[in-house]
Amino acid sequence: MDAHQRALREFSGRIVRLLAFRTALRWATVWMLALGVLVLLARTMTRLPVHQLMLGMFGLVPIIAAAVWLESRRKPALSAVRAELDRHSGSGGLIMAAEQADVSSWAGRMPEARPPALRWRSGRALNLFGVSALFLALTFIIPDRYTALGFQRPLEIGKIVEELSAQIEALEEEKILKEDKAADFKSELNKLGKEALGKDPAKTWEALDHLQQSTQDLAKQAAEEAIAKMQSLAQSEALASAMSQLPDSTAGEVLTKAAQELASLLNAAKLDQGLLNASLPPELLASAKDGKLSSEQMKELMKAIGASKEKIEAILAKLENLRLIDAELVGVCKNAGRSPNPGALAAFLSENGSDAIALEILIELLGNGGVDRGRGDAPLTWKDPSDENDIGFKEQTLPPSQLSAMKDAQLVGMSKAAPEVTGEKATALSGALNAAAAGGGNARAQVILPAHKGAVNRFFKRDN
Amino acid sequence: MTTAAVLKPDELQPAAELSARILAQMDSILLGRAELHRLVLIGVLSQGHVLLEGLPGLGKTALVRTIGRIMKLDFRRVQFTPDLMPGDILGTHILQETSPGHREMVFQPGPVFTNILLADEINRASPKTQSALLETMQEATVTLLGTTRKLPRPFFVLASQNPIELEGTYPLPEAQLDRFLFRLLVNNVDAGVLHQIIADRRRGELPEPTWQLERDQLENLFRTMDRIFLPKPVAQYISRVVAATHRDAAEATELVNRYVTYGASPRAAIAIAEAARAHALIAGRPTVGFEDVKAVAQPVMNHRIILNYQARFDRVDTTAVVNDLVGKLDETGLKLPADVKLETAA
Repeated sequence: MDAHQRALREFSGRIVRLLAFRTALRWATVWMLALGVLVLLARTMTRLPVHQLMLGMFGLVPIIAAAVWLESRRKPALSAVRAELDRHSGSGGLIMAAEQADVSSWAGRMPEARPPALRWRSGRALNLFGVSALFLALTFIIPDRYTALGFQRPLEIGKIVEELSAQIEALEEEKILKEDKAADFKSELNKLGKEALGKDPAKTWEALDHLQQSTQDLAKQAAEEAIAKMQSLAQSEALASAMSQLPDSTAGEVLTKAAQELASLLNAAKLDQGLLNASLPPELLASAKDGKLSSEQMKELMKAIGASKEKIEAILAKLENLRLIDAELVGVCKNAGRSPNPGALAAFLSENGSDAIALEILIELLGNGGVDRGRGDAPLTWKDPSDENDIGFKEQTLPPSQLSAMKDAQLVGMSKAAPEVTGEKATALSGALNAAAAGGGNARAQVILPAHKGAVNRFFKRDN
Repeated sequence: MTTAAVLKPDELQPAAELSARILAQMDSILLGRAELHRLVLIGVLSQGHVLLEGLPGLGKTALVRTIGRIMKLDFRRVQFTPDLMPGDILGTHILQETSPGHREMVFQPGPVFTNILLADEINRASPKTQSALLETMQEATVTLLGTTRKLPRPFFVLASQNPIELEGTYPLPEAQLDRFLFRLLVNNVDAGVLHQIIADRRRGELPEPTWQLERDQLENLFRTMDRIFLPKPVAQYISRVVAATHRDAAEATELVNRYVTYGASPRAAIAIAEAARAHALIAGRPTVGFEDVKAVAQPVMNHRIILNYQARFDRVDTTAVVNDLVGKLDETGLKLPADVKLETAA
């Protein structure tokens, strides 16, 4: 009987193990499917990092433990297992009877104790498990861009951020934007680039607009400053050019005055101040101020002025390329940098070299349109006033109509022709539709047959 | 903890051999129906009554007569007719002069006072006469005029009825049907058996048994029957099978739920247990196994289950319902999942 007892225990244990494995597999399948859905939801809704979501895999441990515990609790009754063993061994009830009665006398005739084999058709369960495992793995490895839903997808501001970043770097490079301010802008831009979500686009766009406005304001300010400086540089260049064209016989006093005026112009332009630094060599300025500019110094000064202009133009071109300023502003700047007529100025200096005020006025005027195209403040001239013929309307009083006639008036049509005036006889006529009558051949008008006349009259209660 | 001992091999062996000899005698006298003979013997060993159903001329009466002769039991035959009265079966009191000038009512026993009563065409008797058999079949006693008389032991009723010529017949009431252990269907034999009968049996006369069972041997068989062990799981299986014949029972099959009006009675469970014991004895086993229950479930229950009209329309009989139930019900109650199967280890 010991062999049968051993077979019984072995068979019972085998059943419990198989059922525990089967239940654990099924629960794990369900768990992995549920976890996969949760991971998908979490990744789309919360953007939690994947490695944190992977912690959910540890949920399999209690699930497997619970399955084993449950199946061990639901372990089939030993008598049922014994009955199954009896049935399979074909002992005809002897193994079952051994539980209640003494069957030792039949020990020699008992069949061999061989527990039946358990066969589990596991194909479907394993397939489902594989599918769920694959699904779970996919939910982990799927890229973020596929998991983000529309309202949580990052805003597509990469290009704008890139442009703004280039603009900030350019402004910083040209010293238009201070380093600490530029660092603040960059930091804010990076933050926007990382945290910008489709969920709240207005806030992001507002911040981007603010940044863009700040850079454009700075660029515009720099451009306006550049226009002013270009104008001063152009005037100075014109004056310097005129001075170099003066004949050698020109009085030294004139040259000194002109040089001082040149120094005054350059100082007033404040080239070394503001957003754009276009400063000139200070020794040249000092010589000019003293009125002792040599011809070499004059050449150097003109060369420096030209270089400053080129530098300013290059900066403006850069700003234009970065779309910080518009082309019109660049054009204005270029125009401002165009030197006025140095020949006329040289002639003026030859004649009125000592009149500094006049020289100043002339330089101002030379910069406003040029002498060849007439004065800019010429008065406007007007021709004859416009003729009102065929445009104005002539008032005409229409003849008064009888109010009683209007009482029963019916609209029979409209005409573009003017109402006909019949002189003294004030009768209301219909102009071009004078001959027209209600129902007189108009397809849209209801034809009233003679038989209906009485009914129509009664309806409107007309008195003949 | 063991409380009893099953029959030892040397105790069981003589009974098993006797059973085998009885069967051998029956098979040699009546040709071609070994399974029927086995079931009839099971009925006798279970001391139950058997209803044989089949067409005329199939050897129902010969079967009963042969059993009686092999077992050396008293045998009576009653041909049931519509005008048969209860007194014709049970017996009656007759005024008889016992001594000069002295008369008294003397009981004249009817044919029921025998060991084996062959009730031929039992469904032709009136319900009154049929019901007269109720007490005799259940209690093995006859009560007349307040006096109860015991019938000789053993007492079996082997009744027959044929399923044709039903005009003028009285179908057995369910209460009486329930008292039959088995309802056995007697079918035609094949051509080979018929040829053997014609060739070997002059005018179909049955040969005399070469061996007969003695009364004490029969008693010994009954005593051995009582000691056949019924394990608890098998008893539970019997209970579950019988319970599952009722509609909406926990383990009722689809056929049961669709076609059964009334399921088997508790008497069916008792009958299955007894018949299974006899089956185990004939098989030479001291204990009842699931295979014994399966072997006898159909003849025990096929007359105890009442089907509805839908079953008639669909040509479904009780045999199909019981076979379906026995085939689908898990014997051990292990309740393994459907996708887990047991296979005999190689």
